[in-house]
Amino acid sequence: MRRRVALLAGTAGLVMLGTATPAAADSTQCSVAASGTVACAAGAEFVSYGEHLYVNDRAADGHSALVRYWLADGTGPHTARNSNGNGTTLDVNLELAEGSWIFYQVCVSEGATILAGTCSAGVTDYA
Amino acid sequence: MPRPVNRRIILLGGLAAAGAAVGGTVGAAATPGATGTGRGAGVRAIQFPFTLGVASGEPTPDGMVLWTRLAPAPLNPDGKGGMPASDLPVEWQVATDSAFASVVASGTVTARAAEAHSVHVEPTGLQPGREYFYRFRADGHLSPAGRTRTAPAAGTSPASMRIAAASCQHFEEGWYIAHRGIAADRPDLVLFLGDYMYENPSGAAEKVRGYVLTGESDTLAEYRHRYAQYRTDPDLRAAHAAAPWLVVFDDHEVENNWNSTNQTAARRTAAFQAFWENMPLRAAQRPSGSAMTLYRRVQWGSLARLHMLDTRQYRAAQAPADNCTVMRDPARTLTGAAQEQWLLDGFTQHPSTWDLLGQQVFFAQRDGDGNRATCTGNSTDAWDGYTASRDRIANGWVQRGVPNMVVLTGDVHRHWASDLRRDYYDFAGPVIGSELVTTSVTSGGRGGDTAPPSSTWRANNPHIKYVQDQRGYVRATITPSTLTAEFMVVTPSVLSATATVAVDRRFTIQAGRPGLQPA
Repeated sequence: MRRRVALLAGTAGLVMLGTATPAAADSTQCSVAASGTVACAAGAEFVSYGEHLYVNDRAADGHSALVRYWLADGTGPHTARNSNGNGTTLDVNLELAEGSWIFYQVCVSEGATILAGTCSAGVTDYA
Repeated sequence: MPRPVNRRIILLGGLAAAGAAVGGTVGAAATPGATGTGRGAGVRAIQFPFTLGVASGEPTPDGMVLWTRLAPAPLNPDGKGGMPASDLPVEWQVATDSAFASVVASGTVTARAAEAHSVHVEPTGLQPGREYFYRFRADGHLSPAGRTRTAPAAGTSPASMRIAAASCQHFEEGWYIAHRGIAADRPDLVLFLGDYMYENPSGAAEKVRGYVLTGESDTLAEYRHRYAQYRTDPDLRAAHAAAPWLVVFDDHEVENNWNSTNQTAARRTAAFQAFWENMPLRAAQRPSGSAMTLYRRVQWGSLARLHMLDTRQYRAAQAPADNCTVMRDPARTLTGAAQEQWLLDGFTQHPSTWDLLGQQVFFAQRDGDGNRATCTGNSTDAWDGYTASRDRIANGWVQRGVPNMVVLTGDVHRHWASDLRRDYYDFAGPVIGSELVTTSVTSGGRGGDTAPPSSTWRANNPHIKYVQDQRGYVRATITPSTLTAEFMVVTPSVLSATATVAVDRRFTIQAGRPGLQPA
């Protein structure tokens, strides 16, 4: 899919899963302890089957979990934010060509503003 | 959305079949982040490694350079592209047809970890003046095919030659609409005239996308990463795959406005190494530490000769603003003495109708007040800041009888078309050539936000025929009698992914009759 969005998550489907457990992840990321947050206050998991990116809020800290991702079509960062509170998961249902890659990081945010130093290093995974 | 057929399943001819012998488990598919997990190292072979595309360059009558860089995870922050620490064999093929039914050259080369798993293949023995196709295979993965061509044989002239010139492609500041146009044009040759990559931190006011590593690039890993992120753009990859390129760097491949005196050897070494790894350059251009011989010539039969210059590595420090004494100091140089002599020596021979000088910074004079006694506001970074150096070269081609000189320039993020004179204050003096300055691919973003030159400015600079503050590129068709230059402009702007590019202005230059003519 080509440049459907610039800096925001666009046509990717966003579904709240509440506390349901997604399928086994192919890769995971944890936010970094910084700006008064604890390690892994936000988490993200990518499942290649169906190309789902799950964004987990794992701390009752009043902050959101935010994922930033870049795609093989030269676009990014796209963002998706889970602002539904501790213990919830946001399902970002992507549509990626088979074999295509995604690079993603997870961060802690206050609203749409990323808290400094909280983003994970990032990881590449594949559809 | 229907999924495309996995390229690995389509086996085309010998290279695909032979690839089975190359395979094997070579490392992780995804490099784990420091705070997460990825798929384990050694679990399976690398993922599709040709994410950065393929490229060619430096055509001669019997060959060219073929390039690729393996990077299954191009945005991994360590700059290693998701590749293991080990080297990897890469097979290559050259064919006369896009289906690779007629393969005329092939071989295996090693993608070395020490060179970011880039390869630079120099096939020889090909036929002059014809189109070829090439591709690579690594670890069972087949690359996209690229189109390239050889130069005409010495002493022969094709009916025409089509070139594109581009520069300044800040990744964040717009979509690569210009490269979409270049790819569609399928020219014979693309000249990229500098600022292929920007080292400076993220931070444009308007941007369509963003860097992963937002700080300034000044280490080898950071430079490698940034080149890789630029190459994730499909239009840039398409332009590389469409034609052979000739590339030169300007300042941002190292640091803004660098010169021979203001860079550490360590930073130059890192920047040059990354430039080499990511460009289709010959072994002759491979850097040696903090030095790199980038100036060279490419001969296009008896039709054209291209002199590609390095106007950064050897230049004296920029003069203080408005300081005529320093700007005109004959001891200062933009090219360095060795490159200047090489250029002047080349001017003594006239093997072609047209001479094209591919270089980075504005060659013609731009003097706003038209006052010979002052240098107020004159560019200290362009040739205006090194006037004695410019005079030696311009006088050099006149005295040596170079018949038709056209300077091709980048850097300034605007289209300019200009005639060249030995004395720009003598409006009746002879025209000695012309300069075609290509605007940026994206740098500067939206465009149209600077005031055009005033009528007074134009009156003081009558050799300047055209200025346009929009993004785009220049394309030219060259025949034995005429050079036709078309200034291509992106509409509405590079902020729109669906923008288009079209001719904004056209000029011709007649062989034997210097000067731009509106067309």
